[in-house]
Amino acid sequence: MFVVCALLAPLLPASIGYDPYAQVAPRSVSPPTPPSRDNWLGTDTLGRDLLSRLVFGARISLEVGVLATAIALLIGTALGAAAGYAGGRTDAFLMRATDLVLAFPAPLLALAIIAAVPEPETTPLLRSLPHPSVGVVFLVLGCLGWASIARLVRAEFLRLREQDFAQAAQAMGAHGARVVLRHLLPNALRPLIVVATLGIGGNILMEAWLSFLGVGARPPLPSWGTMITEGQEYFLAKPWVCLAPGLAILLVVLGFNLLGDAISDRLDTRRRQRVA
Amino acid sequence: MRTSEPRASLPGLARAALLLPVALAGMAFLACTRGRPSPERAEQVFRFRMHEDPPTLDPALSNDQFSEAVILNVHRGLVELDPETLEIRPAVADSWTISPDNRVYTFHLRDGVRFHNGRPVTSQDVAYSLRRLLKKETRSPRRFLLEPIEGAQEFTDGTSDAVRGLATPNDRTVVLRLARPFAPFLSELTMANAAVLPREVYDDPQKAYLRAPVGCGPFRFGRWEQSNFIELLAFDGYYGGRPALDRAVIRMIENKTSALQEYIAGGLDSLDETPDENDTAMMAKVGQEVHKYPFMGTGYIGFNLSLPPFKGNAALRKAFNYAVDKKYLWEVLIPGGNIPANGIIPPGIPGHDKDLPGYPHDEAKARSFLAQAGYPAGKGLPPVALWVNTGEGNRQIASQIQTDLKTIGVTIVIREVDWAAYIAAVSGTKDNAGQAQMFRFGWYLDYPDADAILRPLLHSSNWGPAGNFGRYKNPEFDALVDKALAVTDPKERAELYRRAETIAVMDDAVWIFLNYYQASTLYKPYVKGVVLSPLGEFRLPLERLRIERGTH
Amino acid sequence: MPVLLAAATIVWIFVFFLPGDPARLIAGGQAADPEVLETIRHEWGLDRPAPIQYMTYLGKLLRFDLGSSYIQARSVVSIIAEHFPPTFILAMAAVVLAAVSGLVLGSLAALHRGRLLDSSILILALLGTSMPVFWLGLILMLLFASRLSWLPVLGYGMEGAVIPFTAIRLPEWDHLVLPAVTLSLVSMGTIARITRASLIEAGTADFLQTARAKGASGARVFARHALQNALIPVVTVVGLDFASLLGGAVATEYVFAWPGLGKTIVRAIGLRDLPVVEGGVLFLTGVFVLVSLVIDLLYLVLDPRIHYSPTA
Repeated sequence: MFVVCALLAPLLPASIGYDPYAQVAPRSVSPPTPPSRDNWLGTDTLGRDLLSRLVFGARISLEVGVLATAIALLIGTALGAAAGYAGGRTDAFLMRATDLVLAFPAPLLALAIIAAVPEPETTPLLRSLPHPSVGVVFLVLGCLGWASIARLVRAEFLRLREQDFAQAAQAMGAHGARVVLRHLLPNALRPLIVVATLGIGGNILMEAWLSFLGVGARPPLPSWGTMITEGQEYFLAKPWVCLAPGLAILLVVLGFNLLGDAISDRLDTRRRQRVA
Repeated sequence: MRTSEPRASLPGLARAALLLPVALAGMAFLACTRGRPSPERAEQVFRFRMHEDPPTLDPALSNDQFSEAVILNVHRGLVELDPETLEIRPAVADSWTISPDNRVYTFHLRDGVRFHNGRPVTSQDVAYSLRRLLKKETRSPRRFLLEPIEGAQEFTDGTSDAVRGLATPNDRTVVLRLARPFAPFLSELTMANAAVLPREVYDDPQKAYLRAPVGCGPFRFGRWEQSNFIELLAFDGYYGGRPALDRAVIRMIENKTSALQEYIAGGLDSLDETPDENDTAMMAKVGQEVHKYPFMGTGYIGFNLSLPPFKGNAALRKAFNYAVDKKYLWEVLIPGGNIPANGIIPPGIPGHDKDLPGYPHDEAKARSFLAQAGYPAGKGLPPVALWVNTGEGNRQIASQIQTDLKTIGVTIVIREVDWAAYIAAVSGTKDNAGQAQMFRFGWYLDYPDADAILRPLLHSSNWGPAGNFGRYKNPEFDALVDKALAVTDPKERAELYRRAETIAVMDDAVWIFLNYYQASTLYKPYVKGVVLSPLGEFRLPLERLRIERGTH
Repeated sequence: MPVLLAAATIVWIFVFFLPGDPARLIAGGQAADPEVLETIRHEWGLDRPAPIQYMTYLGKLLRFDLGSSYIQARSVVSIIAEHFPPTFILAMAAVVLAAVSGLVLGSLAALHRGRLLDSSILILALLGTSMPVFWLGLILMLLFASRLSWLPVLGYGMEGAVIPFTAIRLPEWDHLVLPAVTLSLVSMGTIARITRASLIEAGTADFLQTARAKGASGARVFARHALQNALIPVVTVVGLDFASLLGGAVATEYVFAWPGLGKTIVRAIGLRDLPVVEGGVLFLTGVFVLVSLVIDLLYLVLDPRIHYSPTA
């Protein structure tokens, strides 16, 4: 059952008919307008088709979710592996660093850092990205999110290092890095998948939070978090403007969480079978 | 250690852990069922809202309408501006004379004016307050208000110990001599910055007065809990008689939706936000409580005339003006608020020209001017940055302008940043022109005089960070504005201002002229004595209000 | 301890390189003559070379002096002291609610494992962790406060009791309900699932049946044996969530106009009130370290099997 739900989850970022930036509401009516034949979900506060913006928003949310998690994975795995394999002082130092990062109030830091980059469109690194302001978001989230991954990887490495096949490889004279890459990493990665899927969901929520507070995707980009902010004013009279993006976030994150659950269930059963 | 021991203590712990939240929940439930405290007390309280704590409560440092909202109720100056009629009326001074050459102002102080700490007000207090405003150490951004006084500059610079043009011949008289006639001088003295302060409080090096101001106005300062509320209490010794209200409470609520809900639920007696006019459900609930009134101020998009592409290219600026559909913006997109503007000087201010053509929406003209500017159909024009500061309304306006300009082929990039970064980018420094090519700004007038908007924003003496962020320099414009200062005949002044405005608007297109502000406020029906002031929603003369419950 | 030192250093470096001129902000946000700006810079020590500024900063830290706000004329410590209690109370309430309801729901789910109740609770738990909290807060506010008028819309209240000997005022309790419930829904889900998982692992259901067959009272047996397993991971989650809520409840504080520390720090970021940002972040980091210590101590109490053998 879980797997089925998980597959339903992430919306495909296919583009549907309309342009999310065009104002299509009739000029005489005050936006937002209710669902109609032309605009299946109605229009937003500036008269733009809500459904198209929602779909485009999916792209942005997924961009942030996936890329931020990917960056965190990269950094986390590298550092965790180094700590787990090298041991000793490197390990101690890296673990202290991880503790430090974990202790920081991450959302506030993310906010502060993003606020410090006023012009993502002109910053050299970000200029090449299709959506520079989104780029800031996932870069920052990725750079702040590696700590728990590093911990996990290190734990796995410590465990695996003592196991037979690793010892065997070393006995055969294999070089350190080779051992790491060929033997340890692949095995350590399995539990990471769960963490990764949950991480994607978490980062999507963070993006919404950041956009709600005003730092995040810049207009006219249709980020779901921004759409919630814009729509809250009209909540009682025209609830769909605020409800739709919220529900979208809910469904997507739920999907990823379910996916993570399903994978972890399968891993657990496999592990238990192996033990038994 | 026997394993049973810790285990025995555990259920106890667990039980306690379970009981505590149950107790909390029970308390919460009781609190709910207790119901809200009945508002029908003998006490008269008026509750209104601000987005956040006022930036300062020091009259010398006040530079915004939120600080002024509190200051103008706690303090009084020599004269005050009647928020309703916009006439200058006596306050601490009960009469004054102006010499025939318009240079000497003699004020006679009222008897019986006291500070909140009980001490009577004397002319030395007035002199102290004015000197404090001028002193360099105070760092007042509005020091310039008193510059027309003879010897003011020398006092500020430190070359003189006293202000030559300020004299207090006796306890009840203050004499101010100006270096040159300056028509708006009396209006300037009505501003919050000219409040009369008690020296014993405001000389405090610890600056306790920033959290506990003391003045001679109708309300004393009560409690201040940051991000929560400010409380003002009626002052029995006020010279104008004790106010009808016992207390006024200012609640800090940032989120507009939340604030509206709080008003409807009865937690606020007045609100500076109103629901969308098309929201039938809301309007049915509070429609009759909405009050709309003009508010002396102008909103615009400024062009930085020192930066490309706007430098020296009036045709481009005119193209932008014709491209933006202000009527749609203010009548359909964000209805019920402001009035589309045709120029700079708002209606009701002498000098306002209702026949000024301005730039009504005209796509064809926009395209032709764009071509004239050297960018036919937008070709060759790199994306232009429009800076706004974070705020729920700004984004919408900026997005609409972005869309409007896109139709003629111009790409706008929106830079939405917080106020600190915004003001830094827009003002720049005396040497560098700042970064903002276009920026959204609004200006409300402190008193009904066109000088209050033309000079700070467009006169070349304020070029750059002093206020003329657009860096506009036109000697003809300057000359007209300067002349109007020296002239006293109101008709002549109005004509001079009209001509100056025409130059800035029709010839030079210094801004995209967006709107004249219209304020829209909610007031509960039981609040009486409400003043809908053209000076803005936060000009709240609380001493005129009273609560009459039973009239719903 | 070295963690805190490193934290302080990183925060200082970051704040130092933040764009935007603090002198201009201290001067009042808009125009100021260059010489006024210079005086300000000198007064606040902003014109001294970086290493000296750093040392001064560290020195002050050792005395628990977090500096003074650029914008308000008072010490950062007093600002934190004013805004921390509301956030603390809110986070505490949220976390306690989450723990209680999580434990209850998780137990119910485990006991009725495989049936409808179990699945519905699981789904509810997942929903809780998948939702943007502030969106939920808005919905709850509009539903319970506006539509139904059961609860106040927002705010902290003005009539709360003051704790004697301090300047701390308690919220009016009915104002605490909505924001606390909003925040609790996220943690509640996790706690419920952990409880359920550990109960299942301990094979509770069968154990309970045998115990009941023997005549022992169900509830006591349950609490004594079964929940014990769950408590350690639950305590961990509660502790971590509590610490993260202190800084992360900003959006909820914003929606409900709660005068909390998170909101204050965010405003300070916007106003470039750097000492408040620095001090606030450091304070929260310190609190997190403290909470971790408390959790470790609680382990000792909860699980006698963990011994800390001192190397003596």
